[in-house]
Amino acid sequence: MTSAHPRRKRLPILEGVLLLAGLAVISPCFLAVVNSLKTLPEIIRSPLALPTSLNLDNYAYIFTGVDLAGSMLNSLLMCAAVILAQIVFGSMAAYSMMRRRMWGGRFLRVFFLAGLAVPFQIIMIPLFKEFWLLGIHTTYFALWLHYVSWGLPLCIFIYSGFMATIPRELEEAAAIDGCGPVATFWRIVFPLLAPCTVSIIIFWGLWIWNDFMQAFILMGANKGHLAFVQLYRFLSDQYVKNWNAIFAGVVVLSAPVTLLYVIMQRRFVKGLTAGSFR
Amino acid sequence: MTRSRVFLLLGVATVLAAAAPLGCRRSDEGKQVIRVTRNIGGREGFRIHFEAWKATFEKQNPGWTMELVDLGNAEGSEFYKSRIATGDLPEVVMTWQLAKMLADSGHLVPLSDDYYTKFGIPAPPPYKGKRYTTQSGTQVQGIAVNKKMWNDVGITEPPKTWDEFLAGLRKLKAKGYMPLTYGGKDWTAHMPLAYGVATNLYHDRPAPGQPSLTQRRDQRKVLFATEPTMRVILKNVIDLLDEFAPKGCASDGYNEEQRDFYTGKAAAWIMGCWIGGDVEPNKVDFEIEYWPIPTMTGKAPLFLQTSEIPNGWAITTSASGEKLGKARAAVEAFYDAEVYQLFLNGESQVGLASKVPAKGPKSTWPSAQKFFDSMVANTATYGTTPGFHIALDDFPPQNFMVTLGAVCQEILAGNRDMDKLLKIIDDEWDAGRKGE
Amino acid sequence: MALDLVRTAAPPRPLPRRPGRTLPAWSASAILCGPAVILYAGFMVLPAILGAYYSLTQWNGWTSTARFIGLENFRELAGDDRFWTAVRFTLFETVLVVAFFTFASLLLAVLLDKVRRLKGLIRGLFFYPFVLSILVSALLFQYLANYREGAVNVLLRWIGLGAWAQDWMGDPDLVPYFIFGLVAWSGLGFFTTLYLANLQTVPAELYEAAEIDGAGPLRVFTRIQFPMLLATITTNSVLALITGINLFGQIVVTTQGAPGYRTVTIGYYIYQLGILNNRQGYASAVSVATFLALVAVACVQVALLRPRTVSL
Repeated sequence: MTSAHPRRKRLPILEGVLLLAGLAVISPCFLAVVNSLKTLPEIIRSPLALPTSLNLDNYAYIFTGVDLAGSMLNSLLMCAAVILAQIVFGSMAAYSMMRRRMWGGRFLRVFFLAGLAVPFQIIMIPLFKEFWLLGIHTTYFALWLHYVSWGLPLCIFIYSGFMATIPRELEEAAAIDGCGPVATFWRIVFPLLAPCTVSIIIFWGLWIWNDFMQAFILMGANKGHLAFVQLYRFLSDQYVKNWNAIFAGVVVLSAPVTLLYVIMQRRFVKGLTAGSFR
Repeated sequence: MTRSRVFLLLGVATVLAAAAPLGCRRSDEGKQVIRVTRNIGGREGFRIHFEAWKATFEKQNPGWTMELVDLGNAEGSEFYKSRIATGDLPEVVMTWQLAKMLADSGHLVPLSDDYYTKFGIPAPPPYKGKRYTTQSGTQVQGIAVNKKMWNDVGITEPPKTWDEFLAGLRKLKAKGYMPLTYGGKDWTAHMPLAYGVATNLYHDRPAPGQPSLTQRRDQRKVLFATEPTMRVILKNVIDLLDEFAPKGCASDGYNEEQRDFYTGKAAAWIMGCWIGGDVEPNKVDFEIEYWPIPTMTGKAPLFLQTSEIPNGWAITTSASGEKLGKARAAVEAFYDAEVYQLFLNGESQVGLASKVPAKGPKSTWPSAQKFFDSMVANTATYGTTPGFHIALDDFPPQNFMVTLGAVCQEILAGNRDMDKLLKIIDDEWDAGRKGE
Repeated sequence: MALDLVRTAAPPRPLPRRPGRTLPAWSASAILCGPAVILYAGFMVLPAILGAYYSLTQWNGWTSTARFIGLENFRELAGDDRFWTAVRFTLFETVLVVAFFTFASLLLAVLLDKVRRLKGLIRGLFFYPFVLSILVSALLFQYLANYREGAVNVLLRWIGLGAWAQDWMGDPDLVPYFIFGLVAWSGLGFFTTLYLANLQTVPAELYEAAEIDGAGPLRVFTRIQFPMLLATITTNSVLALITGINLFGQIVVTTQGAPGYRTVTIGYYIYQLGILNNRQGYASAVSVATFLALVAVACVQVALLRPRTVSL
């Protein structure tokens, strides 16, 4: 993403100020990392100082006291399962609605679009009740169903917007060769949707990994087997505000995302903002 | 691509996608499980007891285990309601006053009388003719004090009136001590006001046939806004918080209170007797005494006693078939002598089961034992009142404690408009009843 | 915007098809759209409709009989002090949030756009908080704000400004700004990036022309950049509006509505009513009313800003 400014004017003061501002913005995160290596009295005494020694006790405490590793694996699996479903179902639906003459296609477009505005509050309790009636309450499957249906409007929206860029000639060629609509989609169109797919993977992967509220409400506070719900349970269970343990937990859970972010920052940012900037 | 291949592919994709979450690891596979709720919430004494209870149950019932459902520092009504909605209540639940809600919705399995006679437990007052709970022990609530600090300002006996109590706190402050630990953030915020209401408005047990304050309030014969004693109580709590609430306490909770008191910083802690169970785990090394609550209306100081309502653990209808027998075995294992002793130690309660050799809380840790002794002795000297724990029908709406906590937070925020504060209590009472 | 997709998508041409072994059109549609429609209808639309139905009932959420009471809940809503207090607080936060995300982000984006050297790094720094979970940001802010041990107050005391130490989370005058700060910190990067993306589309010729004319940065901004950004301004303000009105998770993790009930937002009130106070029917009514109001306000907002959008 290069700016259109024709000449690269050097603005060192501005750059310096912005750099400092940026560092100030992430300073709480820096505090978290630094303080996760200290003991509690050290933190209270001097939050900003570097640790006197690389004290990994807090991390040991986090991993033994609560099954954080297991819950992280669960979160990862959930992410994978949800994203797979969203990509498959969402792209197919978007293709069908946008590129084929389909009875009710226009209606469906509005139908899915409306879902973008529904707040979680409205469906929270009826959803709970519905899962109970289906006998799958507080299971991962129910949460999966919720996540997928929740994310479909945005997925379809992103795919739909991109759909116009696929040249029709390709589809026509495929049809002449004897491919039916479904085959055409999978063979020809879907590979071309790769940028969207990547965006969605990043967006929803991050969202589901980070999600706390919906997992907490739908799975209940005591089934803390997704990463952040587990952390929340662990924290509300503590004797003292063990800031050192809290920070260790925070660092551990944010590490995967941070790593990915640092490595593929551009992709990441693009993926996260793709849906909104249209 | 043929139709069948397409369907096959779709099917495989769906199954794969759905199977992954189903395959997410769950805990406790293999053994048969009885789930039991408990509000551990950072209290080591509670945890030690639960481990022992579980071990005894497993020993007595091979192939079965007890799974802890930790409610943290909450009372669990939120949790129970959501589990009722999904039909997934744990087999054995700790009830507090929620026995009413759970019984009304038909989720409790009554305990037969032989359960109580077996262990010599005074049968709890029946609710709609049935008894459900283990009725664990005598829980009292009072004020914990750091003896050395109070001695230092010349006060060796519990203050007789609320004014005396405040005077004592002033002396402590003048001497440079932290007079009171108080957390305004969590559920702990309500304590001073709850004590005030229970010991002054519900001081005397109503005569038989006479409705309690709760019932009169429900019939709107009296309102908090119009009851003069309520204003006295509120004024006293405002004075207390004004002068002695530590700065910044609006973001402190139970954990900060624990830390202040157990590390010997604070001179007084308005909290229930269960703190005694954490004295040993926290290696407290100074002398703590447990004092009665001085009243604001000229009556004698006394402790609050919360054991008269059906309390303790109950079996739910989730325990069906073979599980029912095992759930009953679990609540019987509760009264195993060693387990019960650990319960009394953790909760700092006097035992109610005459046939069980555990009588009162015990500890080899000197500070803890002194606390228990002080509690038992003072309870005998000063007596108790059940407050509104007379019977389930006298219990305020479920949100009452939260409301009182909110009012205390309003006081911390500087709100001195008594009419407004009392209106909050009244409005929330009515709203709370609407949800039942 | 989104509505364009519905309106302007060209009607698809039917593709030439060889008869025989391929799927008939309707079954292809069913396969393509079916799963999405079923899932969405079953687990988003149906609960939403049910939620709307429950708003007309009295139901405590855990026994199965919901008693139909018509518009009684809405009547109660009109006179509910706690609700209107929550509305006032939510609106206060929303105004702060919308103003910040619409204008402060804009300013930041314009500045960041000019940066050349450490562009990636600096933008990366600002965007990073968005990548963190609500739980993480809330915990970090709680740590900063804690009166006795929080970093802010410890720092203030360390440099001798101890008198300025406040109970950032407990003081009712300060807590709205605490919440605002949390939301602003988490979202700044996101909204700024949207503006930046839009700024990329400004053609180089315009800048060159401005330079030739000797226009200073301010005029470049007002004459070139601002008009080009109007579409994104609209988008951002609507997104910020939705963020503000739906404030809920942040409250649950930090204040739980305290002190008193002063940081109860509409979303948190619904949660309290429904889950904590057993009043599902009433909670549903509140959420339906809020949703309708939100849609109305968003429509107004879009309508106001739409005519001003400049297309190139």
